[in-house]
Amino acid sequence: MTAFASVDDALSRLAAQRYLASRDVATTVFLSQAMEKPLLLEGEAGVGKTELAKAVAEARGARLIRLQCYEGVDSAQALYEWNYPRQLLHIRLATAEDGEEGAPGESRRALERSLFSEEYLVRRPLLEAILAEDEEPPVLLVDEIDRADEEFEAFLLEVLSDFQISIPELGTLEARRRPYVVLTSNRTRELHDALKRRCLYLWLDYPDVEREQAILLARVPGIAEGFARQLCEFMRLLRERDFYKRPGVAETIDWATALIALSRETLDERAVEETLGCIFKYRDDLERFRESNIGQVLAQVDIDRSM
Amino acid sequence: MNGGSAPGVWELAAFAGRAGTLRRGTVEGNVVAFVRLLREAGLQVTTGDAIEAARALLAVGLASRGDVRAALAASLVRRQAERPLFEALFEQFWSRRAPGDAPPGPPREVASSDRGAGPPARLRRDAVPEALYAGGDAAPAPRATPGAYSGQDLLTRRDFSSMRPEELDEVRRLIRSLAPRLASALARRRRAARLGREVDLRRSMRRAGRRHGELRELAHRRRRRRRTRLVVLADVSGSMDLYSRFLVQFLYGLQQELRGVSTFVFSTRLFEVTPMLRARSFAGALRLVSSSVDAWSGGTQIGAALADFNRRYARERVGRDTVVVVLSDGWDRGDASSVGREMASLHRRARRVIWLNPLLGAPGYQPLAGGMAAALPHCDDFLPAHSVEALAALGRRLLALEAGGGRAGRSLAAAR
Repeated sequence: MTAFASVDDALSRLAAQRYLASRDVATTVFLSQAMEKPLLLEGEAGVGKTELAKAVAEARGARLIRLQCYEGVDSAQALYEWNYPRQLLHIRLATAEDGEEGAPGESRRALERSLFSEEYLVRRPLLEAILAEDEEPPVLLVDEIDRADEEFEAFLLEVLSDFQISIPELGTLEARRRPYVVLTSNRTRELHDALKRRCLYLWLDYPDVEREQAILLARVPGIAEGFARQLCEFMRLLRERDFYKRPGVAETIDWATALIALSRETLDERAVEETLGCIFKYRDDLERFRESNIGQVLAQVDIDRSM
Repeated sequence: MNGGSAPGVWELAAFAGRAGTLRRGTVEGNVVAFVRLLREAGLQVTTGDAIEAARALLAVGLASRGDVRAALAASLVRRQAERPLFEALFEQFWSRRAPGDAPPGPPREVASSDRGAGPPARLRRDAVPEALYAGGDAAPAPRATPGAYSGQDLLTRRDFSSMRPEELDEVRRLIRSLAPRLASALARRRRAARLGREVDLRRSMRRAGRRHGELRELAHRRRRRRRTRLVVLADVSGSMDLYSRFLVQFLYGLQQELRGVSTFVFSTRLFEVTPMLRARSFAGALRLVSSSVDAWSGGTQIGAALADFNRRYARERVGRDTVVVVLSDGWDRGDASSVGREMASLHRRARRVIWLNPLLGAPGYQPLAGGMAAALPHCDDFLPAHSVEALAALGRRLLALEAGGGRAGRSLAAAR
């Protein structure tokens, strides 16, 4: 497996990984690889941002290296750390041996050299991606970058611009081949322009009913075509409404899986009521939904389907 | 800088220098002309972006219109909010000349001939040329000495609405100097706090334990500094207009100290004016509001404006690090219960909600107006913001939050 040769190639190889991308998505993925620019994915939670990165890795036969961001993530957790306990152990062992032999000056320098060698370096995701020797450059997924602090964003910008880092004790390490980088953001805050400029930007939207149906058919074993269609129509109507957290594709898949597990083959009020927890994750949304007339939504689904 | 006529020519030269592989005349000319169109509509596109766009086009080829659009969008659009404008301009530009057609005319011509039929030029830069600080004479930094008895001192306590025009000019200058003064006071306090760091013994030992009892470094208690985001919702209907102007000017000066300021104005509808403020034109921003159809048709619909904000912006702009500042007198023409509902939702989401009501500065004022009474239970602070001094108090409060204060402590109706 290798890099994508064209937009069509990207489209079909992603589909082979059961990721049904629109042509726009495939085009941008292909471009970011052809131009060696990181891909910045934004969109509501659950539209498949992380999935896309995984699918790209699978499709290219590359390793996926993931850096999950959170508030307060810093370079020690993202880049490298010295394995302090092991270094200490090494020193204790060395001094124990030293006690028997001697020649302190020489062995001390040697000890120091060996202490700060790659052997005692704990590679965190960014360094791992830079030093990777895989045949196919790895896919580096920087997930939910919007949750990290701005300082970290600036640090990341620096790493992404030349893919080299310097470790004081070791010197400068440089990537032999650039990893393919995907960043995702849920837009809890706006990212800095400098970072955006470094990337190709892609907004992932909810798929249309046909595509979502196809996704269900690909992802949920044993689901009937008509039933999948019904679920997707229902989701489409829900997403037109005003909820704090509108259900994404991930929710649709969960929901369908749950319904199949309950051996439901058609959608009625009771089935919806039993499985609401798959669709809504906030109490406010649950209440708001219960206030509305479920039967009416279901009737609307039937009307849309018969048209 | 973006609006001048030079970039077109200059960029063509840059292309010629940078991109040897470009097929001249088809890709580069089109991209330059299209970028120019985007800029005129107010999108920020750098020359670097334009070069990337041309590279993208060469990578996907020009055969499919959809691919061309996706390639340009990926390299020229930075946020989803810009996408509709991009789509409209793309349709307008590339439908007229199918990609791969004969080389375009001079970019200049394309841009101006397309201008008339264009999409709403809401972000057009050159339409908002005024400087934020009216009377933009490079006014000397005022030498206001806080605490001294002077005419200025009196001025800082007076209600804006009672001032003569020349006094307002003076106040404008005062406000401009206020933000830097508050900020430097804060910086001093931070330095002092850094010196007196406290050793966290428990954490030091825990850390040593993890390292086989080796006490390598002391852990210090540190107060995590979280930078605050600020969202301003300013009522610009009727009598509130003047106060809103001063508030926004003041907060604009303070924005360096905060992580980001988003500013919205509302009367019967809500508008975001953050981009205009970045271009330093509050007057232009206000003009935009007043030119909208029903902005001045009377009264305010706070509930509707808040609902609009909650639906369209809150998820992205308001989080646990966000302070929301609302300025309004609470006279709502619409439904008071909706004000309560929307404020409750906003309050749940934000770190802190501050309501500014200039009427609070008037003796004997009681917050009884329907909307105001409904909003009050969902506010953490209720402050006047009717004078320079009141604005300074607000600024100190915001910066104190910035320095690590929590959600505790309400100052309802306390400030006079």
